[in-house]
Amino acid sequence: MRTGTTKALRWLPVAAALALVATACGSDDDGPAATDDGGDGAVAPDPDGEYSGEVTMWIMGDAGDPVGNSVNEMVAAFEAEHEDVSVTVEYVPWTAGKDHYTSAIIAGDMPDIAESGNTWTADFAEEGVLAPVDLSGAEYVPVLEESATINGAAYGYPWYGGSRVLLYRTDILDQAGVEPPQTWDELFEVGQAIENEVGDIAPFQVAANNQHYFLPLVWQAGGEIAAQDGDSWEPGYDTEAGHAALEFFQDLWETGWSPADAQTDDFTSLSLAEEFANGQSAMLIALPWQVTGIVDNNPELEGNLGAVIMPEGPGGSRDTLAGGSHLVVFEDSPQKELAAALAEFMIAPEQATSFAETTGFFPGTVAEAEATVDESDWLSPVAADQFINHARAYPVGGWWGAMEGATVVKDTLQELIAGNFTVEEAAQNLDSEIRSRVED
Amino acid sequence: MPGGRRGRSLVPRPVRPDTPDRSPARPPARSWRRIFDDKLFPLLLIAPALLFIIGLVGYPVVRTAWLSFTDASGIRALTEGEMDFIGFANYIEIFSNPILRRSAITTVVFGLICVVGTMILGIAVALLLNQPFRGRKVLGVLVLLPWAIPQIAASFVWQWLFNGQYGVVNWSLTKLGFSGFEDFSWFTQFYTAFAVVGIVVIWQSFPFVTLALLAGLQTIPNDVIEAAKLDGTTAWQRLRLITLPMLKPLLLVLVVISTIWDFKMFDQVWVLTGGGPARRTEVLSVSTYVEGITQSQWGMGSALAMVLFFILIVITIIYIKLIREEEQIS
Repeated sequence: MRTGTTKALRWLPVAAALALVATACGSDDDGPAATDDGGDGAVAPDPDGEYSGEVTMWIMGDAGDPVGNSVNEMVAAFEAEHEDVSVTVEYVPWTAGKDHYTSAIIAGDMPDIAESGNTWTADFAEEGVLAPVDLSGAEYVPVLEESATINGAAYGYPWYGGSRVLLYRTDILDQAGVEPPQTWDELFEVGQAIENEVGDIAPFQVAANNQHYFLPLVWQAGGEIAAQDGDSWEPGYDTEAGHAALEFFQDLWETGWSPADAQTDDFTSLSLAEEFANGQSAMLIALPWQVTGIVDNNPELEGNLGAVIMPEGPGGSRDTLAGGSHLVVFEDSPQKELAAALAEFMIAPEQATSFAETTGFFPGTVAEAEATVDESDWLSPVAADQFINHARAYPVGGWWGAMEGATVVKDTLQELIAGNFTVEEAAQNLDSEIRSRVED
Repeated sequence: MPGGRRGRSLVPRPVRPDTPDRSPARPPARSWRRIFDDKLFPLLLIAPALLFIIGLVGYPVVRTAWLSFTDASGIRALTEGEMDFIGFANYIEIFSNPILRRSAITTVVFGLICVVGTMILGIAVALLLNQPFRGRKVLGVLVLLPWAIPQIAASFVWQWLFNGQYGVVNWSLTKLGFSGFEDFSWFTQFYTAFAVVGIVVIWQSFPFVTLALLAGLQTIPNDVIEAAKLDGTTAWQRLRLITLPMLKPLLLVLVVISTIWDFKMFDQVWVLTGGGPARRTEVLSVSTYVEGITQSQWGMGSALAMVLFFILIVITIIYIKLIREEEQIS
């Protein structure tokens, strides 16, 4: 593994404030500097609600997916309320998303408002390109608010979120005569029972290129990915919990349940979902909204699916990543107040409820998130329990963006399952990669 | 960008006939008009083209070279010039870091293997198509198809053919009795991964060679071949002693073009392996993208691009030498 020889993205509050003044392309815009407490400089909609002009908004995904459909409706409603306002929506595919934003920031060509993956917001905020926003208007899902908050100031409206749960085939587990696994050990026991009683179907598969499943395992084992101590971070994989997480992953690989191709870069969480939809595996870690696609691909699975929250690790935790998106307003936008008004419109109860119904995500506000839970559904209460009670954010720091963008986790797991790394070497490698990015 | 420097060298310079110097004797008095005609006018004529070349080739190359000696990384390096000069540290890193060193060596070795494969297959198919037989035209069109398919699309198709679980290659090999290929993962091991990449690259690049050589073959006068036949030569002798030597200038150009294409190859590797597992199947162009773009290490990415640039320059210089020798012989 290459350790970064270069320094970058160093966080200095003063430098960030200066960065706002000397913005990209040397333009002399005098944006208000991000203040330490954030409250004073925060952008907020004009209380009179009189707006005119144009704003450009970037949304992740494409216009045809559920999020896109829902956004188009919201924008039409917003434009109907404000006759002199015109909103241009541009869609950015998730796969190229971070690069697209980075290029735009370098070129000084940012939109007014954008959807930001919740693990990116800290990175952009530390670059000084985001405007602080005022989150006092509603109670937001804590984990989404936490990942938008940098040095006490909020830089994004929590828009929506969701967390991975364990899906399983009720018919297969019945046939094997077992209940869904509640712990790591039970995952192996259930898998063994399926192998013995059912055969011809892989109980549970893992892939090296699926970091959002692997990274939280250390939480379940009772550790931290990286623990913050003032301005410094202490990586947590070369610890008892970190070793347990890596051993668990290695043991899952060595069951032989996963196909050989699962070592390659191309085999991702989507491939695992395809395997499950094809009836090749009996259990799957997936985001709740993926269920629609899985059932579309294989209607026979309808009525044969169940869900439980993540199996508990030796640390007694069932936590996983709180995935989600923020709506961020760019500091350089000439229409910051209008952009903030659009964001607040999009997360308001009426829009949020309809958005959640269309997309299957949880809205970013607590009241609307709770309102979307359907107790009679097999999935909805489980998904809510996972997201509200057992979900955490990745370390909130600008350095994390570089960590997630790099191929470190995938590379380490590939070396581990190929036998080129021992558990200790893999743990040390992850920690040194984290450390080098923190120090950069 | 290694593109700009090679344009002038690809076409052999025509041998200038010995024409008498037609420029008239200089008049004793210098006139401004003459200075304009001789010096300024030509400059004015090439100025637009020169501006484009400096803007689109010169500046990027110089900028890349400069960045390669810095530790530029992250957004701020480009928005605010926050970077330090670090001399050859990036280049030292390339040759001391096992991943990047492997990438550089793979580029050269694998690139050359692809060139040899492309040329052999290209020559063989051109010779076949040069024979009169039924269905020659249909075959000629079919041979061109791989060249006509976009590289990305073709690479995805090949990826599916070699898919471990569902690929038709593993299925066929298993049915033929090679049970070791059941669920065999081609893209997990270095050698099997590059075997597939090599097949795809050669499959995509030989049609161009074939097409060019077929045109070249038509220019060989029939009476030379007939005379050789009367002398009792075998087909192999005619190929080795007449056909290939007569095509030598063309073959040289094709070798250089193939070399440049194969050393820069990106799409096939990126689609088929993504450079993985664990960055073990990268070539320089992929490493440049991974370091420079996905990890925002502009300095390191530039250094990798410069290494590829210099490898290609060296090859181009060798080519120019060969062409010059060719000119001197003729």
